[in-house]
Amino acid sequence: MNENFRRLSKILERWSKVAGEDITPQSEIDDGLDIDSITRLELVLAMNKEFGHDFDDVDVFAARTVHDLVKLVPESD
Amino acid sequence: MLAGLGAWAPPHEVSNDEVAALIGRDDEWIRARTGIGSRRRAIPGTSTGTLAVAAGRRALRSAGVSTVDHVVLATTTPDRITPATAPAIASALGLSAPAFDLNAACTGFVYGLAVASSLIMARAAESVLLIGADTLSSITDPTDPMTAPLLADGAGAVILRAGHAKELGALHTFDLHSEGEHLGLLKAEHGDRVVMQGRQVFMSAVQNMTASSAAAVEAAGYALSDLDRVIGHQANIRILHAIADQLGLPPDRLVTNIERFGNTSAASIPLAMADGVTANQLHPGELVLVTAFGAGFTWGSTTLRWPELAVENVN
Repeated sequence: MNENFRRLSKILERWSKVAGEDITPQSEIDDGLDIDSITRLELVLAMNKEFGHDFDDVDVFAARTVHDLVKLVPESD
Repeated sequence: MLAGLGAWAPPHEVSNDEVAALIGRDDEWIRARTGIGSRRRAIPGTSTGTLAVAAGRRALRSAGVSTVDHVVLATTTPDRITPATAPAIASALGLSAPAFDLNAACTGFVYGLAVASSLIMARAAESVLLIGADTLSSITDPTDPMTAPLLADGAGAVILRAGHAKELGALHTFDLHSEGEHLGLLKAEHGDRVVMQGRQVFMSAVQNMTASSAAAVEAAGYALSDLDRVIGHQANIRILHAIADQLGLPPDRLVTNIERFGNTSAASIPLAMADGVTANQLHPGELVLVTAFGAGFTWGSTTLRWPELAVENVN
Protein backbone atom coordinates (compact mmCIF):
# COMPACT_ATOMS: atom_id res chain seq x y z
CA MET A 1 0.00 0.00 0.00
CA ASN A 2 2.64 2.54 1.06
CA GLU A 3 4.94 1.56 -1.78
CA ASN A 4 2.08 1.77 -4.31
CA PHE A 5 1.08 5.16 -2.91
CA ARG A 6 4.66 6.37 -3.33
CA ARG A 7 4.77 5.16 -6.94
CA LEU A 8 1.39 6.75 -7.72
CA SER A 9 2.40 10.05 -6.10
CA LYS A 10 5.46 10.13 -8.35
CA ILE A 11 3.21 9.72 -11.42
CA LEU A 12 0.69 12.32 -10.22
CA GLU A 13 3.45 14.80 -9.48
CA ARG A 14 4.22 15.01 -13.21
CA TRP A 15 0.85 16.60 -14.00
CA SER A 16 -0.33 18.12 -10.75
CA LYS A 17 0.39 21.65 -9.62
CA VAL A 18 0.77 20.18 -6.11
CA ALA A 19 4.30 19.20 -5.04
CA GLY A 20 4.91 15.47 -4.54
CA GLU A 21 5.43 15.73 -0.76
CA ASP A 22 2.06 17.48 -0.41
CA ILE A 23 0.11 14.68 -2.11
CA THR A 24 -1.69 12.52 0.46
CA PRO A 25 -3.99 9.48 0.13
CA GLN A 26 -6.88 11.85 0.86
CA SER A 27 -5.93 14.35 -1.89
CA GLU A 28 -8.86 14.85 -4.27
CA ILE A 29 -7.83 14.21 -7.84
CA ASP A 30 -9.99 16.79 -9.64
CA ASP A 31 -10.07 19.75 -7.28
CA GLY A 32 -7.15 19.03 -4.97
CA LEU A 33 -4.58 18.00 -7.59
CA ASP A 34 -6.16 19.87 -10.53
CA ILE A 35 -6.13 16.83 -12.84
CA ASP A 36 -8.38 17.38 -15.89
CA SER A 37 -10.06 14.73 -18.08
CA ILE A 38 -7.25 14.34 -20.63
CA THR A 39 -4.73 14.10 -17.81
CA ARG A 40 -6.81 11.24 -16.38
CA LEU A 41 -6.22 9.42 -19.68
CA GLU A 42 -2.49 10.11 -19.47
CA LEU A 43 -2.66 8.85 -15.89
CA VAL A 44 -4.19 5.54 -17.04
CA LEU A 45 -1.36 5.10 -19.57
CA ALA A 46 1.30 6.01 -16.99
CA MET A 47 -0.21 3.61 -14.43
CA ASN A 48 -0.27 0.80 -17.02
CA LYS A 49 3.41 1.40 -17.69
CA GLU A 50 4.44 1.78 -14.04
CA PHE A 51 2.56 -1.24 -12.67
CA GLY A 52 2.58 -3.49 -15.76
CA HIS A 53 -1.18 -3.89 -15.47
CA ASP A 54 -4.04 -2.85 -17.81
CA PHE A 55 -6.13 -0.48 -15.68
CA ASP A 56 -9.70 0.16 -16.82
CA ASP A 57 -10.06 3.84 -17.70
CA VAL A 58 -13.64 3.74 -16.31
CA ASP A 59 -12.24 2.79 -12.87
CA VAL A 60 -9.55 5.48 -13.04
CA PHE A 61 -12.17 8.09 -14.00
CA ALA A 62 -14.38 6.97 -11.10
CA ALA A 63 -11.60 7.46 -8.53
CA ARG A 64 -12.19 10.53 -6.35
CA THR A 65 -9.07 10.46 -4.17
CA VAL A 66 -5.50 9.21 -4.49
CA HIS A 67 -6.46 6.41 -2.05
CA ASP A 68 -9.16 5.30 -4.57
CA LEU A 69 -6.40 5.00 -7.18
CA VAL A 70 -4.12 3.05 -4.85
CA LYS A 71 -6.97 0.55 -4.28
CA LEU A 72 -7.02 -0.16 -8.03
CA VAL A 73 -3.46 -1.49 -8.00
CA PRO A 74 -3.49 -5.31 -7.78
CA GLU A 75 -2.09 -6.79 -4.56
CA SER A 76 0.72 -8.61 -6.37
CA ASP A 77 2.07 -5.30 -7.59
CA MET B 1 12.07 5.68 -51.84
CA LEU B 2 11.14 9.24 -50.95
CA ALA B 3 12.33 11.58 -53.70
CA GLY B 4 10.12 14.69 -53.46
CA LEU B 5 8.01 16.50 -50.87
CA GLY B 6 5.61 19.43 -50.88
CA ALA B 7 2.69 20.73 -48.83
CA TRP B 8 0.06 23.40 -49.09
CA ALA B 9 -2.56 24.73 -46.70
CA PRO B 10 -5.38 27.13 -47.54
CA PRO B 11 -4.43 30.68 -46.48
CA HIS B 12 -7.57 31.36 -44.43
CA GLU B 13 -6.44 31.10 -40.80
CA VAL B 14 -9.01 30.43 -38.08
CA SER B 15 -8.05 31.44 -34.54
CA ASN B 16 -8.92 29.63 -31.33
CA ASP B 17 -11.01 32.62 -30.29
CA GLU B 18 -13.18 32.18 -33.39
CA VAL B 19 -13.64 28.44 -32.72
CA ALA B 20 -14.06 28.91 -28.96
CA ALA B 21 -16.90 31.40 -29.38
CA LEU B 22 -19.05 28.70 -31.01
CA ILE B 23 -18.33 25.96 -28.45
CA GLY B 24 -18.56 28.02 -25.26
CA ARG B 25 -14.88 27.64 -24.33
CA ASP B 26 -11.78 29.85 -24.64
CA ASP B 27 -8.33 29.89 -26.24
CA GLU B 28 -6.66 28.48 -23.11
CA TRP B 29 -9.11 25.53 -22.96
CA ILE B 30 -8.36 24.60 -26.58
CA ARG B 31 -4.57 25.01 -26.25
CA ALA B 32 -4.38 22.95 -23.05
CA ARG B 33 -6.36 20.05 -24.47
CA THR B 34 -5.07 19.97 -28.04
CA GLY B 35 -1.88 22.02 -28.42
CA ILE B 36 -3.57 23.90 -31.26
CA GLY B 37 -3.29 27.68 -31.56
CA SER B 38 -4.87 28.14 -35.00
CA ARG B 39 -5.81 26.13 -38.04
CA ARG B 40 -6.42 26.66 -41.75
CA ARG B 41 -9.77 26.21 -43.41
CA ALA B 42 -10.73 26.21 -47.06
CA ILE B 43 -13.03 28.98 -48.20
CA PRO B 44 -16.13 28.05 -50.23
CA GLY B 45 -15.12 26.93 -53.71
CA THR B 46 -11.84 25.43 -52.51
CA SER B 47 -12.09 21.64 -52.48
CA THR B 48 -9.84 18.77 -51.44
CA GLY B 49 -8.82 18.54 -55.12
CA THR B 50 -7.72 22.18 -55.14
CA LEU B 51 -5.46 21.67 -52.13
CA ALA B 52 -4.14 18.39 -53.51
CA VAL B 53 -3.14 19.94 -56.84
CA ALA B 54 -1.19 22.69 -55.07
CA ALA B 55 0.66 20.18 -52.88
CA GLY B 56 1.22 17.81 -55.80
CA ARG B 57 2.76 20.59 -57.90
CA ARG B 58 5.22 21.34 -55.09
CA ALA B 59 6.15 17.67 -54.70
CA LEU B 60 6.86 17.39 -58.44
CA ARG B 61 9.05 20.51 -58.26
CA SER B 62 10.82 19.13 -55.20
CA ALA B 63 11.66 15.91 -57.05
CA GLY B 64 12.59 17.83 -60.20
CA VAL B 65 10.23 15.78 -62.36
CA SER B 66 7.26 16.60 -64.59
CA THR B 67 5.83 13.09 -64.98
CA VAL B 68 5.04 10.11 -62.77
CA ASP B 69 3.69 6.63 -63.49
CA HIS B 70 0.87 6.63 -60.95
CA VAL B 71 -1.16 9.06 -58.82
CA VAL B 72 -2.69 8.07 -55.47
CA LEU B 73 -4.80 10.40 -53.33
CA ALA B 74 -5.41 9.54 -49.68
CA THR B 75 -8.51 11.39 -48.49
CA THR B 76 -11.64 11.13 -46.37
CA THR B 77 -13.22 14.12 -48.08
CA PRO B 78 -13.19 13.50 -51.85
CA ASP B 79 -14.73 16.12 -54.12
CA ARG B 80 -17.64 13.79 -54.96
CA ILE B 81 -18.78 10.20 -54.44
CA THR B 82 -17.73 9.21 -57.94
CA PRO B 83 -15.51 9.53 -59.85
CA ALA B 84 -12.53 9.53 -57.53
CA THR B 85 -10.74 12.87 -57.11
CA ALA B 86 -7.29 11.59 -58.16
CA PRO B 87 -7.91 11.46 -61.96
CA ALA B 88 -8.94 15.15 -61.99
CA ILE B 89 -5.84 16.01 -59.92
CA ALA B 90 -3.63 14.11 -62.36
CA SER B 91 -5.16 15.99 -65.29
CA ALA B 92 -4.80 19.35 -63.56
CA LEU B 93 -1.10 18.56 -63.05
CA GLY B 94 -0.69 17.56 -66.70
CA LEU B 95 -0.05 13.94 -65.75
CA SER B 96 -1.24 11.10 -67.94
CA ALA B 97 -1.21 8.27 -65.41
CA PRO B 98 -3.45 5.78 -63.62
CA ALA B 99 -5.01 7.52 -60.63
CA PHE B 100 -7.25 6.48 -57.73
CA ASP B 101 -8.35 7.50 -54.23
CA LEU B 102 -7.64 5.62 -51.03
CA ASN B 103 -9.55 6.13 -47.78
CA ALA B 104 -8.01 5.04 -44.49
CA ALA B 105 -9.03 8.24 -42.68
CA CYS B 106 -6.16 9.81 -40.71
CA THR B 107 -3.99 6.75 -41.47
CA GLY B 108 -4.48 7.32 -45.21
CA PHE B 109 -1.01 8.71 -45.85
CA VAL B 110 0.75 5.75 -44.18
CA TYR B 111 -1.48 3.26 -46.02
CA GLY B 112 -0.75 5.27 -49.18
CA LEU B 113 3.00 4.95 -48.63
CA ALA B 114 2.57 1.17 -48.39
CA VAL B 115 0.41 1.03 -51.54
CA ALA B 116 2.72 3.31 -53.53
CA SER B 117 5.79 1.31 -52.44
CA SER B 118 4.01 -1.89 -53.43
CA LEU B 119 3.22 -0.52 -56.91
CA ILE B 120 6.92 0.20 -57.33
CA MET B 121 8.07 -3.15 -55.93
CA ALA B 122 5.58 -4.96 -58.21
CA ARG B 123 7.12 -3.04 -61.14
CA ALA B 124 3.73 -1.52 -61.97
CA ALA B 125 5.36 1.91 -61.61
CA GLU B 126 8.82 3.48 -61.43
CA SER B 127 7.45 6.57 -59.71
CA VAL B 128 4.29 7.48 -57.79
CA LEU B 129 2.81 10.80 -56.71
CA LEU B 130 1.11 10.19 -53.35
CA ILE B 131 -1.00 13.02 -51.98
CA GLY B 132 -2.69 13.24 -48.59
CA ALA B 133 -5.38 15.93 -48.68
CA ASP B 134 -8.49 16.69 -46.67
CA THR B 135 -11.03 19.43 -46.11
CA LEU B 136 -12.33 18.23 -42.77
CA SER B 137 -14.01 21.58 -42.20
CA SER B 138 -16.66 20.41 -44.70
CA ILE B 139 -17.70 17.62 -42.30
CA THR B 140 -17.11 19.37 -38.95
CA ASP B 141 -19.87 20.62 -36.65
CA PRO B 142 -18.58 24.05 -35.55
CA THR B 143 -20.53 23.77 -32.28
CA ASP B 144 -19.06 20.40 -31.23
CA PRO B 145 -16.34 20.95 -28.56
CA MET B 146 -14.96 17.46 -29.22
CA THR B 147 -14.12 18.01 -32.91
CA ALA B 148 -14.39 21.70 -33.85
CA PRO B 149 -11.08 22.77 -32.23
CA LEU B 150 -9.19 19.88 -33.84
CA LEU B 151 -10.28 19.37 -37.43
CA ALA B 152 -8.72 21.42 -40.22
CA ASP B 153 -7.83 21.50 -43.92
CA GLY B 154 -4.57 20.94 -45.78
CA ALA B 155 -2.58 18.86 -48.25
CA GLY B 156 0.84 17.26 -48.47
CA ALA B 157 2.42 15.17 -51.20
CA VAL B 158 5.44 13.01 -51.86
CA ILE B 159 7.09 11.50 -54.91
CA LEU B 160 8.20 7.92 -54.40
CA ARG B 161 10.54 6.34 -56.90
CA ALA B 162 12.27 3.01 -57.41
CA GLY B 163 15.62 2.73 -55.66
CA HIS B 164 17.83 0.57 -53.49
CA ALA B 165 17.01 -0.54 -49.95
CA LYS B 166 20.23 1.00 -48.61
CA GLU B 167 19.61 4.46 -50.11
CA LEU B 168 18.48 7.37 -47.95
CA GLY B 169 14.71 7.72 -48.32
CA ALA B 170 14.07 3.99 -48.75
CA LEU B 171 10.96 2.97 -46.84
CA HIS B 172 11.46 0.05 -44.46
CA THR B 173 8.94 -2.57 -43.29
CA PHE B 174 5.33 -1.43 -42.79
CA ASP B 175 3.15 -2.35 -39.82
CA LEU B 176 -0.54 -1.83 -40.77
CA HIS B 177 -3.76 -2.69 -38.93
CA SER B 178 -7.51 -2.14 -38.77
CA GLU B 179 -10.26 -2.98 -36.26
CA GLY B 180 -13.67 -2.27 -37.75
CA GLU B 181 -15.63 -3.09 -34.62
CA HIS B 182 -14.79 0.40 -33.30
CA LEU B 183 -16.26 2.28 -36.26
CA GLY B 184 -18.92 3.98 -34.16
CA LEU B 185 -16.34 5.72 -31.96
CA LEU B 186 -15.11 7.97 -34.78
CA LYS B 187 -17.18 8.36 -37.93
CA ALA B 188 -19.13 10.55 -40.35
CA GLU B 189 -22.16 9.06 -42.08
CA HIS B 190 -23.07 10.15 -45.63
CA GLY B 191 -24.28 13.74 -45.52
CA ASP B 192 -23.44 14.04 -41.83
CA ARG B 193 -20.55 15.41 -39.77
CA VAL B 194 -17.78 13.79 -37.77
CA VAL B 195 -18.69 12.42 -34.35
CA MET B 196 -16.03 11.23 -31.93
CA GLN B 197 -15.95 9.52 -28.54
CA GLY B 198 -12.87 11.33 -27.28
CA ARG B 199 -11.85 9.15 -24.37
CA GLN B 200 -11.86 5.85 -26.27
CA VAL B 201 -10.22 7.38 -29.34
CA PHE B 202 -7.44 8.94 -27.23
CA MET B 203 -6.65 5.66 -25.48
CA SER B 204 -6.79 3.57 -28.66
CA ALA B 205 -4.70 6.08 -30.59
CA VAL B 206 -1.91 6.11 -28.02
CA GLN B 207 -1.88 2.38 -27.36
CA ASN B 208 -2.05 1.34 -31.02
CA MET B 209 0.42 3.90 -32.36
CA THR B 210 2.83 2.96 -29.56
CA ALA B 211 2.60 -0.78 -30.30
CA SER B 212 2.76 -0.25 -34.06
CA SER B 213 5.76 2.07 -33.76
CA ALA B 214 7.63 -0.49 -31.68
CA ALA B 215 6.74 -3.24 -34.18
CA ALA B 216 7.85 -1.21 -37.23
CA VAL B 217 11.14 -0.21 -35.59
CA GLU B 218 11.90 -3.80 -34.58
CA ALA B 219 10.93 -5.18 -38.02
CA ALA B 220 13.36 -2.75 -39.62
CA GLY B 221 16.13 -4.05 -37.37
CA TYR B 222 16.46 -1.02 -35.10
CA ALA B 223 15.92 -0.23 -31.43
CA LEU B 224 13.61 2.56 -30.25
CA SER B 225 16.65 4.39 -28.90
CA ASP B 226 18.02 4.55 -32.48
CA LEU B 227 15.18 6.89 -33.54
CA ASP B 228 16.21 10.46 -34.31
CA ARG B 229 12.75 11.78 -35.20
CA VAL B 230 9.12 10.75 -34.83
CA ILE B 231 6.55 12.11 -37.28
CA GLY B 232 3.16 11.10 -35.91
CA HIS B 233 -0.26 11.96 -37.24
CA GLN B 234 -0.92 15.43 -35.85
CA ALA B 235 -4.08 14.41 -34.01
CA ASN B 236 -3.57 16.19 -30.69
CA ILE B 237 -0.32 17.25 -28.99
CA ARG B 238 -1.31 15.34 -25.85
CA ILE B 239 -1.59 12.12 -27.90
CA LEU B 240 1.83 12.73 -29.47
CA HIS B 241 3.44 13.42 -26.10
CA ALA B 242 1.81 10.31 -24.60
CA ILE B 243 3.21 8.17 -27.44
CA ALA B 244 6.71 9.55 -26.91
CA ASP B 245 6.37 8.85 -23.19
CA GLN B 246 5.16 5.28 -23.79
CA LEU B 247 8.05 4.67 -26.21
CA GLY B 248 10.53 6.08 -23.70
CA LEU B 249 11.56 8.90 -26.03
CA PRO B 250 12.05 12.55 -25.06
CA PRO B 251 9.31 14.81 -26.50
CA ASP B 252 11.88 16.80 -28.48
CA ARG B 253 12.16 13.86 -30.90
CA LEU B 254 8.64 14.70 -32.11
CA VAL B 255 8.23 16.71 -35.31
CA THR B 256 5.08 18.74 -34.75
CA ASN B 257 3.23 21.60 -36.39
CA ILE B 258 -0.22 21.00 -34.91
CA GLU B 259 0.02 24.38 -33.12
CA ARG B 260 -0.40 26.16 -36.48
CA PHE B 261 -2.28 23.64 -38.63
CA GLY B 262 -4.49 21.51 -36.36
CA ASN B 263 -5.48 18.00 -37.37
CA THR B 264 -5.55 17.77 -41.16
CA SER B 265 -6.21 14.00 -41.34
CA ALA B 266 -4.43 12.36 -44.31
CA ALA B 267 -2.46 15.57 -44.92
CA SER B 268 -0.99 15.90 -41.45
CA ILE B 269 2.12 13.73 -41.85
CA PRO B 270 3.38 15.17 -45.17
CA LEU B 271 2.53 18.67 -43.86
CA ALA B 272 4.64 17.97 -40.77
CA MET B 273 7.41 16.49 -42.95
CA ALA B 274 7.56 19.61 -45.15
CA ASP B 275 7.50 21.86 -42.10
CA GLY B 276 10.14 19.71 -40.44
CA VAL B 277 12.55 20.17 -43.36
CA THR B 278 12.04 23.91 -43.70
CA ALA B 279 12.24 24.40 -39.91
CA ASN B 280 15.53 22.45 -39.83
CA GLN B 281 14.03 19.68 -37.70
CA LEU B 282 14.75 16.90 -40.22
CA HIS B 283 18.21 16.16 -41.55
CA PRO B 284 19.55 13.70 -44.14
CA GLY B 285 20.54 10.37 -42.64
CA GLU B 286 18.34 10.64 -39.55
CA LEU B 287 16.27 7.58 -38.65
CA VAL B 288 12.63 8.69 -38.82
CA LEU B 289 9.54 6.88 -37.57
CA VAL B 290 6.21 7.64 -39.26
CA THR B 291 3.06 6.57 -37.40
CA ALA B 292 -0.65 7.28 -37.75
CA PHE B 293 -4.04 6.33 -36.33
CA GLY B 294 -7.52 7.14 -37.56
CA ALA B 295 -11.15 6.25 -37.97
CA GLY B 296 -11.87 2.64 -38.78
CA PHE B 297 -9.99 2.15 -36.56
CA THR B 298 -6.98 2.05 -38.83
CA TRP B 299 -3.35 2.55 -37.84
CA GLY B 300 0.14 1.87 -39.08
CA SER B 301 3.81 2.80 -39.02
CA THR B 302 7.03 2.62 -41.00
CA THR B 303 10.58 3.95 -40.79
CA LEU B 304 13.08 5.51 -43.18
CA ARG B 305 16.44 7.22 -43.23
CA TRP B 306 15.63 10.82 -44.11
CA PRO B 307 16.85 11.80 -47.61
CA GLU B 308 18.21 15.09 -48.94
CA LEU B 309 15.15 16.98 -50.23
CA ALA B 310 14.53 20.49 -51.53
CA VAL B 311 11.27 21.63 -49.94
CA GLU B 312 9.35 24.90 -50.31
CA ASN B 313 7.96 26.64 -47.21
CA VAL B 314 4.41 25.66 -46.39
CA ASN B 315 2.49 28.89 -47.02
